[in-house]
Amino acid sequence: MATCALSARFSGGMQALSRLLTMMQGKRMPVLNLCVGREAGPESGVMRATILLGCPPEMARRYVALLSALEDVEEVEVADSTVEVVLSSVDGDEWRDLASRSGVEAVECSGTVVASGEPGKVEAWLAALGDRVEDAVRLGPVARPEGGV
Amino acid sequence: MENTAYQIEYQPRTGSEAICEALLDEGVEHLFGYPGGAIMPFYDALPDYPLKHILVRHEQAAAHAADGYARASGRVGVCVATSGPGATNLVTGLATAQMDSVPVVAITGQVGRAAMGKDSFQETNVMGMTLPFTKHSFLVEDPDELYPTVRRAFAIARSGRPGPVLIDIPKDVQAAACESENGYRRLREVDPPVSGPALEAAATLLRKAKRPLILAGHGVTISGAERELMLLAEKTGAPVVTTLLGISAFPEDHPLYLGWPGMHGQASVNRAIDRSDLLFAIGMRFDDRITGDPRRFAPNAKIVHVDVDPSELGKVVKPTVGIAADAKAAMRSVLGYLKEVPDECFRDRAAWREELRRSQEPEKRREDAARGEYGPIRILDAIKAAAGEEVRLVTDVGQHQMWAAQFFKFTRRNSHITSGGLGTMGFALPAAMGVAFAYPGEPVWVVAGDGGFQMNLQELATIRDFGLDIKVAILNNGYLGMVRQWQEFFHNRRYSETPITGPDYETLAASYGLTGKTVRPGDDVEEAVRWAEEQEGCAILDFHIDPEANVYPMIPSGMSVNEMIEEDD
Repeated sequence: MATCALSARFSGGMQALSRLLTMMQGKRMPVLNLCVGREAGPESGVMRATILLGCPPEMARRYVALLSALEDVEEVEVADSTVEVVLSSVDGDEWRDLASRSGVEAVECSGTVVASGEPGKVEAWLAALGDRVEDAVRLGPVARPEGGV
Repeated sequence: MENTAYQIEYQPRTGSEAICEALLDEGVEHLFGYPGGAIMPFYDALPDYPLKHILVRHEQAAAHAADGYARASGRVGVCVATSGPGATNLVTGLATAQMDSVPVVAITGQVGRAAMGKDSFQETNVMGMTLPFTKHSFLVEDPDELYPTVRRAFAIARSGRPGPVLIDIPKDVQAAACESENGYRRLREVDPPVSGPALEAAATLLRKAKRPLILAGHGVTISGAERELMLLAEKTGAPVVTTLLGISAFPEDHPLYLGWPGMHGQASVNRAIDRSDLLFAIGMRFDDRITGDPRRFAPNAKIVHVDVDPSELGKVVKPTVGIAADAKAAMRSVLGYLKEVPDECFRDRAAWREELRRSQEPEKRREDAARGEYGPIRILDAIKAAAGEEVRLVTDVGQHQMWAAQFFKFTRRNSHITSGGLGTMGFALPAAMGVAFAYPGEPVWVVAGDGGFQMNLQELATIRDFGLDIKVAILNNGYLGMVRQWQEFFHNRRYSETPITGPDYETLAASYGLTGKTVRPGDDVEEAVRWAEEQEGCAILDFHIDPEANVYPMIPSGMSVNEMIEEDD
């Protein structure tokens, strides 16, 4: 399936997020994944959403126009590249070598393995770990800052 | 003589006073509303300001009246309601305005900040509720933000593609003192940049086409581009068709005017679109009532689509050239590109126009034959004759709406007001109040069905209170006529729940202190309409018409011109 990731920068907190979600739902955008994060500290009103759409970029143009028209949205663009972030609970230590071989960055943080990389590579890493993955939460795909350029 | 020194003291203002000041600074003269618990501080401040409040009898009517005011005047309409049921009652009106791109600002009271989120009395999440059909909305929790927010709401409502904006204000914020002076940095309202190469390409297509049609929508009226439309049509000799909401953007007595297409548009116009080799569509959105099956719409035509909203381009119909631009700016630009093209280049379009003229003859013959008979066409003719060219016609939704669009010859700009996109029954009477306030002293007629009229007839009290000179023609067929027609065509005449009764409208009018008359087949239609015109203030004519009269032609939903049902079928 052709996919297209959009990166939207917006302010206005929960109301703005509600409006964004309502627009996506109301216009029946083919949303495969949505990831929202803050751009600065907790007091910052600016948020970033990465919206993964199940359509090619040329079909996403209307969705870019619709989202751009929202008052709270400061910028929408097609994301050049995305990164998958996974928080996982993994048995053993083999994940380090597998991550290295898969081209995935992975570190342990308070017992949670945090891995990131190109979505396909992260999926391959998780598949290679197999049953050793007790639990995993995929946060992405997230648009890279500055579009990853 | 003693010199008196005046000292101006800074008087702390309340949030409500800041709202009123912002409204005044936006040039607001009229508000349509209904008070209640959570909006009381605002209503307490209101009498101190030169703002005319029109107390409606239902909040839905406030939204429609603000909508009608905005459509007629081109200014932002304002409606006010309290929290909870007051706010929920606005919803249909806001959705109506959103669908037809009408600038409305709705102010709603909200329960106090401490009570919010606790299922308090008359608390609703009106912002959440209206997200899908407002252009924007605000919940203002800081009184100092009220003035700039109201100003910003107006700017948003009228800029670009207009639409409704909601401002929800907790009661305690309305009552709280503002600490700062009014501060507002005026937003620069700019049109999106107009693409030169695309417009040049559009002009080239228009120059080269053999069978062009200009398809004008509501965007032409919103932009005030009627003159540019006329210039473009006359320069190129391209016949003009309009959408339902585009009616009255081009005078119907102009030789280049053809009619309007779509589900109930003229058959000849639907066929013209089918035959055309270029559709120059401006300020419209290819509504499904226009296109039917979009895959079979205008199969021989290249399409130029101009709309101020870029998300409309390619949404339904893929244009050959799509231009995100204001209608007036775009047409001016195209006219600039065509300026040097000699008029002779467009002469060969005479054959196309003659072909179209001939295609209209059968329906004109049918129309002329029906003119003498008691029925919708004769009633509409009588209204036009009695009320004159200046009349603004506000229609409700249903069969009468289609008859009025088909047969009332609109020659004055922006004189046809109707709910197109949402198709809101009950729209006409309150919207006409807005029109009457926008243009006091000018003739306003409502044409409604007996179903839709009963949805907001409580507004007769408002009309009486303000002495509004609105004349009403009810085309009473004792049915929800359009639904009945669909049942006749597509459900084997099973008239399930479409027969509808109503009051005696003469008596109803009298009970509101107004005048009314019942008109039946055989009665003198013209005399009845003249009688209504002679009445002081509102008069209601209850025309009993053929219960099973149908609107023709009809393209069944999702079909194309090839499946069009015509009167002779």
